[in-house]
Amino acid sequence: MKHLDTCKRAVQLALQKGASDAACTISTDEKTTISVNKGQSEGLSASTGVSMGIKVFLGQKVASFAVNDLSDESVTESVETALMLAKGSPENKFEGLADKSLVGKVSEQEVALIDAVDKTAPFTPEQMLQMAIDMEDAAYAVPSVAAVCSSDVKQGRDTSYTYLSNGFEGVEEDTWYQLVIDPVAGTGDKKVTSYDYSVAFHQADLDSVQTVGKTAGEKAAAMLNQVQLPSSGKMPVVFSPEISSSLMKGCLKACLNGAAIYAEKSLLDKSSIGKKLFGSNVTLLDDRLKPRGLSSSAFSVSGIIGPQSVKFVEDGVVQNFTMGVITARKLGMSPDLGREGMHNAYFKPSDISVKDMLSDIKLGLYVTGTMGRGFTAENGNISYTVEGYLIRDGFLTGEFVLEATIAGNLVEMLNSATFANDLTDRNGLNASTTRVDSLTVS
Amino acid sequence: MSSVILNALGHSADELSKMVQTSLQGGNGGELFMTGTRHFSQTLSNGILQQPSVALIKGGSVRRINGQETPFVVFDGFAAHDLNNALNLISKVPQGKAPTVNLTASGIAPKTSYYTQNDAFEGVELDVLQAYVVDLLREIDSYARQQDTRVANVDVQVAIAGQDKLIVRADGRVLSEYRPKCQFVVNVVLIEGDKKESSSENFGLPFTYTELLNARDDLRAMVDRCIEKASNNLTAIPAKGGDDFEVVFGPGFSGGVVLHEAVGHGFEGDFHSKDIASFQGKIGERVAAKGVTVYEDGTVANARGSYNFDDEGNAPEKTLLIDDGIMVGLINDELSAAALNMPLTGNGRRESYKHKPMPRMSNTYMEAGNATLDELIGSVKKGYYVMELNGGQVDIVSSKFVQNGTVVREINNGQLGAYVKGVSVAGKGNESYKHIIGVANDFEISKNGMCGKEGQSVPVTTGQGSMLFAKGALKVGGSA
Ligand SMILES: [Zn+2]
Repeated sequence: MKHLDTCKRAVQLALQKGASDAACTISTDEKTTISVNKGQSEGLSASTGVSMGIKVFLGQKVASFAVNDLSDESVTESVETALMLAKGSPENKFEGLADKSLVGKVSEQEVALIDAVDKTAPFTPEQMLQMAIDMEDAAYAVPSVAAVCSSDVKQGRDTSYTYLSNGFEGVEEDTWYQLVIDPVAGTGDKKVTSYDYSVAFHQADLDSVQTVGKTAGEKAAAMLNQVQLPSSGKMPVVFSPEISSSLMKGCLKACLNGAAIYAEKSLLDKSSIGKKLFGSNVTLLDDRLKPRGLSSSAFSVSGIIGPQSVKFVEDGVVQNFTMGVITARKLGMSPDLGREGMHNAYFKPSDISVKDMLSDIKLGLYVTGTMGRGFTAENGNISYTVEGYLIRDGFLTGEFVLEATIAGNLVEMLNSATFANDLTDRNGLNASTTRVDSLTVS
Repeated sequence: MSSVILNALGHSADELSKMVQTSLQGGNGGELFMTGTRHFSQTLSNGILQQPSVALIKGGSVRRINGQETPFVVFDGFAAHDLNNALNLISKVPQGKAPTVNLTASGIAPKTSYYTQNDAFEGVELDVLQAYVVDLLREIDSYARQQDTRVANVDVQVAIAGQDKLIVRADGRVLSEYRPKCQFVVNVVLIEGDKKESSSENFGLPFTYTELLNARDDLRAMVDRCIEKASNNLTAIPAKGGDDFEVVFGPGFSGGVVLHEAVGHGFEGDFHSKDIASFQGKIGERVAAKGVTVYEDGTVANARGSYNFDDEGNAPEKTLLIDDGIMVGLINDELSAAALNMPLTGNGRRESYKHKPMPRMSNTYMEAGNATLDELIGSVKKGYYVMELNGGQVDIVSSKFVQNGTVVREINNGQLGAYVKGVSVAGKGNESYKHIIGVANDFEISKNGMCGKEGQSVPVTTGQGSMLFAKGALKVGGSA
């Protein structure tokens, strides 16, 4: 725990030199990556990194300093410079560490439950190379796959150490493994590309490289059967779990974010809490202790542990925002949830199967990709360029639409949204196959 | 040679050059790349000054080129032990099976820098600098609130940074430079009744801090533009979509972003060497209308995308990409130039020492045309005038691109009409540019721009005059 000791030393030094409070975090990371192209290694990349952030308080005056040199001289200089800047800073009435009464102690049981560290030996460079080659081969084995942009195998270990002068200390560590491949199908001006991936904290939870390569290749190949959208207008739109997860994540992170709400940059405001703004099918909750969950966490950086699960939206009623200590003070709310962000959030699935969800759709679009930055958090307007497959007479077809536009509004969308029963946990925020009937497709 | 980094390492240029050559011998090339960056920023948000942030980040990486195989080791800090360790690790990487490549080096850095080499902080203490910045932030905030009673929030940020860079190449050349950077970002939110709109302006230029402070009139003008744009958008009506609109893009960033996304990325050599580029095999072919001439140019004085040498240590160039509509060149780094047997263009760039270089744009622009913006708008029967975009996305394989408009007006029978919202513009880069009807003489080069590729961001600019796309060239997505 050399780094935790450095954090403590930095905080104590700041206090000795006159700070009323101080906070220090040190993060380290190790990462190795291997990419192959046409069966040929592009070389192993290896990196190790360390960085320290120190924040000092002189009452309500604050400054922070980030540095990646942890020598004694550097730590001392960082603390002194931060104090000098804090002296010149105006008072900010919202600043300050979390109240001592809210600060908790990291539970060993919870850390064990999250299980973010794989005890298995990491992959050797030779194993990683073979995996990347096998994944690429699996993609090339799919007919009509003509090239692969890159086939990457990555692994790493991240650790963070936090010490606050309100008495909190916490260490968080994880190992991670990642496979990513993006094959190209077709040639000339008809080329298309898709991708697949697998991410996990444990080697055992990774999908096989053969599955990832094959899935990505098949996704790309299927896109070659292109049709034009037969007609424009309001029609049912069904988002694949992947797209629903990323779309909802982007939209809701912006809207339910307390800092954005305070800055008038969300369509929600403080009075939204307790209001039924969305359809009764919409329940969004998280779970910070999900075993091996991609965004599990034993504590928040403010030192507040927080409940295991927070409901952000329940049956369409807005219940909570994400906010740190400072944002909570600005909004006049309690920071006791300890949610700077969502942890393994998911939309509660219904018991409707995807098959039943599609069954009454005469013509609709099953969206497998989005492009552009088509969401405005201030008003919820949505306008994305999308790609996907036609749904005809209750069934998903193989007819691929390379370019269509969906337009509408997040609030309307979440008033008509239904979440199917196929929830998985591939991402940090997850949604099942999602049907929305309020969007205009053109 | 004097260099902050050499001093910190305690080596002369010659010593370090020998160490790197020893470590990288037997390969085809590679380099030691090191930077030290000092950064100060402060934000005023909703009337409240946020904490000042300072960062001092230093480190380096060693890359060895063995054919297409490029082992790479990254280390944080300037400690001799970590540098030696990285050089040692790289020297032990076995020679790969990859065939060797013939790398070319494109000469030495310019005698005169493309931007000031003066210290961004001009030697002042941080607390002195902070006092100036706080004054500026407060002044901008109150200026914005005085202009319009509907202003509900102002976010304004100033960031000042300076970076020392050192490259030691496998061929023994040692290059060093300093790069100052000032960034100013302002966002204004207007509320009227139950309507809320916000608008942003920003610039990031190789300035020192006094140059930024002295540009107060320009900064106020940026606030004025934010208010004007947000105010116009409060009246905006939902846009109709369709594929029968003519589209005029405004000068500078508006049309330039489309050029960068839809065309520029398709000219990057690494995609061509992997056979995945949308402009694959089109050199010598018509890819744009007659009259469209496009350059990639890292040598524009005081531009945000310029550099004195790229991140492999090669000089930037002015590279002709499209000559009167015909594709003639590519954007290359050492590896892609070697793989394609094409000229090296000095475009090997990386986000930081933690990343490998790859072919990237710097300043990408289309030559000015002869028309005027009024003529272009006047010639449109049914279309849109896109004045601002919020950046976009391109699929480099299919050439499909999308841009979301943030300030857009209707054009009906040659007349500008209502402001509209929810416009997205989509097309295919290797097709749409064949249908440009006119380019105007109002050439501008942007003062902002970040380009993302494979997870790495680098500063870029784009430039051009206003331009008009024919009906059918682009698809407009609406929100009506
Ligand atoms: Zn770009």
